[in-house]
Amino acid sequence: MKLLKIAIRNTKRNVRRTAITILTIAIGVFVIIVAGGVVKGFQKETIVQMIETRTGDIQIHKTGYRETLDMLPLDLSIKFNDVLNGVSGIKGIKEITGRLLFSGKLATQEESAVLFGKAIDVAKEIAICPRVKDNMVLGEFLTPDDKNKIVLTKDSAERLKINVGDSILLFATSQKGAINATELILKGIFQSTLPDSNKKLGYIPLKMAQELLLMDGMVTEVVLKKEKNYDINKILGEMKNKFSGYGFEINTWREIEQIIIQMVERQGLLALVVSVILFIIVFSTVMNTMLMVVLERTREIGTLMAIGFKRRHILTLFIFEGTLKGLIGGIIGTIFGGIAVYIANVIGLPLYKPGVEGVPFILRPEIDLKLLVLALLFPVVAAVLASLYPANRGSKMDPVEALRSV
Amino acid sequence: MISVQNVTKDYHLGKTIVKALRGVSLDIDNGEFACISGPSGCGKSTLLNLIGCLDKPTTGKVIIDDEDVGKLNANQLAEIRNRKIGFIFQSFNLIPVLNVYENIEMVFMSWKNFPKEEMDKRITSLIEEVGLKDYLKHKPGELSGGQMQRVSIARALVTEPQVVLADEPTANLDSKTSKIILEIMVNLNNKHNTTFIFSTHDPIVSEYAKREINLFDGVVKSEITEDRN
Repeated sequence: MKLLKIAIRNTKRNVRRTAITILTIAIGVFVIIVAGGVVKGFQKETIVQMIETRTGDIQIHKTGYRETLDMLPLDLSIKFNDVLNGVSGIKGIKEITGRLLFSGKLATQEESAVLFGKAIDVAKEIAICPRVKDNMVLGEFLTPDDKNKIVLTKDSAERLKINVGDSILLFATSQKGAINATELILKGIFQSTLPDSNKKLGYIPLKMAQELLLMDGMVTEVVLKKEKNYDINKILGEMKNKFSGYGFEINTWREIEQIIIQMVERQGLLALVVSVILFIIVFSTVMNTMLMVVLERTREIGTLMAIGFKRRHILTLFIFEGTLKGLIGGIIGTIFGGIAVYIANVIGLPLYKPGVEGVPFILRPEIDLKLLVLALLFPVVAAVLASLYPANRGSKMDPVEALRSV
Repeated sequence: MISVQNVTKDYHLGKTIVKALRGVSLDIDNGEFACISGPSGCGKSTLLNLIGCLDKPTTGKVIIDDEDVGKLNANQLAEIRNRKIGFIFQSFNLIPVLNVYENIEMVFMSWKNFPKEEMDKRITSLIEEVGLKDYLKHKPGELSGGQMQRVSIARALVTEPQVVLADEPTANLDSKTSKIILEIMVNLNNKHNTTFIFSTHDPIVSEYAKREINLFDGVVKSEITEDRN
């Protein structure tokens, strides 16, 4: 007769209590998997959003540019063709584009506003950052044929009191100090999802900005998109070799948006906190159940001791019993949690970004295999630990006292 | 052979010391069918617990096979209980989740490398001897009190112990069933030459014993030995 067999039979003794215990464990595991899946989906969405809206995979700047980014310096610019020629032999680069970031002033007859200008090669920009046009709330984003068009944030449009199709003047200072101006038509209005200077963001065609700023062929930022299965660090390494001596800073999205990456990693803490709380709940549920079980079976323990069961047999029996409950609850929770996350992933959960009206994004919770294994192990470990004390108590009983129990 | 030498047993109930045994000495030879009789609270169960290695004496010695069991640790005592002693309880004390066969089988839990065939042979033969051949797969809840006590007897004998201890084995049974149970015990004593020591306060039950040790207030008051065959 094996102890496991007895433990399995014992779990069926008080079906209602066992079911409640298993259900509690299963719910705990379910919540951990769903919370973990949502957090992972959110993290992935945040990063993909960031890469496909702003950063691309790799960026190249003149050394020192990023430290003075707030001033949008035009003197730290790059000849785009130099970069284009330099990367020609590097495998794994899908698309490359240049951006010219500049500061300017927008004015109507009555109003004016500061512009954080981002001049882009529209076709290539959309190929690298396809989500750049996702946040449009009025009008349309730029197209490759556009010349004197601008797309502004809702904040800027409101400040300037202009609508799609209205004309506006853009003033900008070239690197040599010449103030130039051009007339633009507002083509579209978008919601900025980021705070501060991003609220003053405006997109204009690159060619037009280069003409305005007298910077033909020059850009301040080069952005690359890698082929899907290429190792970003390998491409980075090759680029750093190729451009050594050019005075360039070459960074991946991870290095560029460190604050966002840290924020995303902190979201993982949320899942950890949820897990710890649930661990305590599962732990106390199993311990409570097992303490009741030991108390109820005191005379049975005495009988087992009388017929020669050793301490370790009693200990093992109750640990098996607690562990079984943890394992069954864990399996049920993992299966249902996995299914729930899978369904949510397929359907997608439409959520709204904080402070952004009318622009939903689809959250797709991700099944994390590592989390599934951990979620399955978690109630087992909790159950083993929670059973130790009651099992130890049972195994240390005085056989005479135990037999005397009613 | 079992030797109880000047044994005392005190229980502490708060600040009160209850003297359950006040110096009991007796020897029980192999194959005896002995009864410890006396009124409730006279120390019958305490004496059986000491002989059964479930408890240790306050003073004095309990010697089983030349071994002073008072000097053994918990695991060694469990080993002796498992190999040399069989227990029959007043409330049968079967494990409700196990069937008749399994209740008897589980005594072999710590018998490493014991042949399965031999174990099976012993269990089925004993089940037959106690008349439960058709109840092999029945759980205790599906048995009557008398049937449960028969399982308990088979469980006590399956390891072929030197001594079977039965604490008031018929107390929860009607007189007809009690008689059947006692006859089974007598037959098994005769057949296997296993020592039986049982406790009772019922004079009708004690009449089955070949030796009656009468306890009163924790001391042996009298002893009657007779051949009832």
